[in-house]
Amino acid sequence: MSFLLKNIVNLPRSGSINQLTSSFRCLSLTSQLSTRHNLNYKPPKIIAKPITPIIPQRSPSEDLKACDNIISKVNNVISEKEEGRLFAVIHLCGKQFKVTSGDIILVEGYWPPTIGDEVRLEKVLLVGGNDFTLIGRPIVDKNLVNVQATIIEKTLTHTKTHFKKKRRKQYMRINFQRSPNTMIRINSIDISGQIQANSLEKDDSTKIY
Amino acid sequence: MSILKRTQQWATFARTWHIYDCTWQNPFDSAKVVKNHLMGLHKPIYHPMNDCGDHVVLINTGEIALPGDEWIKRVYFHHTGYPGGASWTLAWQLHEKDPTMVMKKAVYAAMKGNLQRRHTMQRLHLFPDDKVPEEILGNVTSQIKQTRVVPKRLDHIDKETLENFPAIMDYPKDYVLR
Amino acid sequence: MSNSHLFLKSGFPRAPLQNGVGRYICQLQRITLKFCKNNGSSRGMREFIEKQLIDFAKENPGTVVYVKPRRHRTPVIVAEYLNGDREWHNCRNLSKEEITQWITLMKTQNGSSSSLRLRKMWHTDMPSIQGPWTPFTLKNPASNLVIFPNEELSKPLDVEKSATEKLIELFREQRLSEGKLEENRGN
Repeated sequence: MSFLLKNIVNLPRSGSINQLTSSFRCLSLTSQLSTRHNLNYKPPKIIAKPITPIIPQRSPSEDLKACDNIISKVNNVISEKEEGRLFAVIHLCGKQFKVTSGDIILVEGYWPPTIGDEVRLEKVLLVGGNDFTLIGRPIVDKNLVNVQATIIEKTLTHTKTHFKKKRRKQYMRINFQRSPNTMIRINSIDISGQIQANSLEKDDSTKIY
Repeated sequence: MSILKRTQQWATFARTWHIYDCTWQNPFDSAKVVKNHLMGLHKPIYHPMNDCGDHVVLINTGEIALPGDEWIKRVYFHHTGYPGGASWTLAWQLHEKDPTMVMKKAVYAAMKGNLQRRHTMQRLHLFPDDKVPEEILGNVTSQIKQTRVVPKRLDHIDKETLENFPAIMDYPKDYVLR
Repeated sequence: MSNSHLFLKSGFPRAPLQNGVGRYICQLQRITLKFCKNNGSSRGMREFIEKQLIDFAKENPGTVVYVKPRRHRTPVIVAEYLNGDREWHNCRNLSKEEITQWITLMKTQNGSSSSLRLRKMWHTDMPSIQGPWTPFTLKNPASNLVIFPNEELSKPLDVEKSATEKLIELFREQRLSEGKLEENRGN
């Protein structure tokens, strides 16, 4: 750890970097620590004017143009199969899981599918690759994303003890319970087809939310 | 752990330093915000068992604004442990003795009373005015937004704005301005 | 009160041998049904063997089924798995339906899982794809040049318009409309 720290401390001394960024300043943990390491060290003077981050103002037409640009870039990546490993946030049995291919997830409680069944998880809230993310509102179009999974185990949990007692009231109950658990393997996450800018205006009367 | 992973771990758990200006802020509302940053609750990696809290520098704690008549009604209790050792201090008296104390106690009270609280409080740095040592200010990389707008005093508004301000009504001619 | 849970092992979800990545393989290798031919406690088991066992064996060609009669002892199911686990279950006085349920459970699980408390409902080999979070992700690079304390950054985001500002706005609108009226008159 200390050699990394030294590197960071030495960075501002070298003249190549004229402006020490705040993030680097932050990484030097505490100033007392750095001074303890080399007593002659003096923090460099930062010459910068107070700047407040400015959000660029765009007109609606420029906005649309930028949007189209991004969508075409993502489409390009998908059509050339360069998206790499994808991840998705899926909604399953009232819970959300962030999954990628090869993952194992568990569903608690009764769930009909049995072992060996291959299912397609359709409630996909978000899909992402290395450098893009598609966010559903609330779910991504089911023709666009295909999340395949296999059920690999249906079992019971360990025995849970439910013990209740009220003091001085002659009341004591004990129950034992094992609830079903289903283990699912995520096989693949694919994006099939192209992303459309106006996919929102589609007729979504057939969807069940 | 490889060098790359170690650096990743280091970057993820790096402690950020925040600064918060207490001028004209309600200490009890501010404490809720400050507490979140102190405990690291604002981070996506938060887990009660990991140590991801940040440092918070509170400046201008002397300028806080207590709501209503809290300055005279709020009482801080202390007991020395000996018989007759109880003492009650009003908020304004405490503030006169130490202008950082009201804010400190507000943050302390905003957190749950567990073993972690005193260690979390070590990361809080309070200053009664805006004179912060260079070595502390040099670490600061972000500013926490205040909970309310700082009101502007009438004598701090420049003359031009005052003169150009629209009059709601005209005074009668025989009205005497005192 | 049972204290057995105090010594319960805990772990994380795992599947044996990458099961389900290519195809799914049933982990149950052998099931042994032990029963008595004339004892009342084995009645359900005998019924199961008479009516359902052949169907079960046909449906699961990958599983070996042993039936072992023995005199005057309680009926028992023993399941043996691919990972070497052996699960033993007492079936004394159980009905045919109950035995069916237990056998389906043994068929569908990957090993004896009764003694493991799961700490997570998720397992992954790839915890992050877009890179783990750090305090600097999605930060505006311009924030590196800010000198703290900064008044602009300190202001709250959701500020309602004050009465003064509303009044000034009203006044400006009024002046504008008056100016237009005068222009119209001039025309």
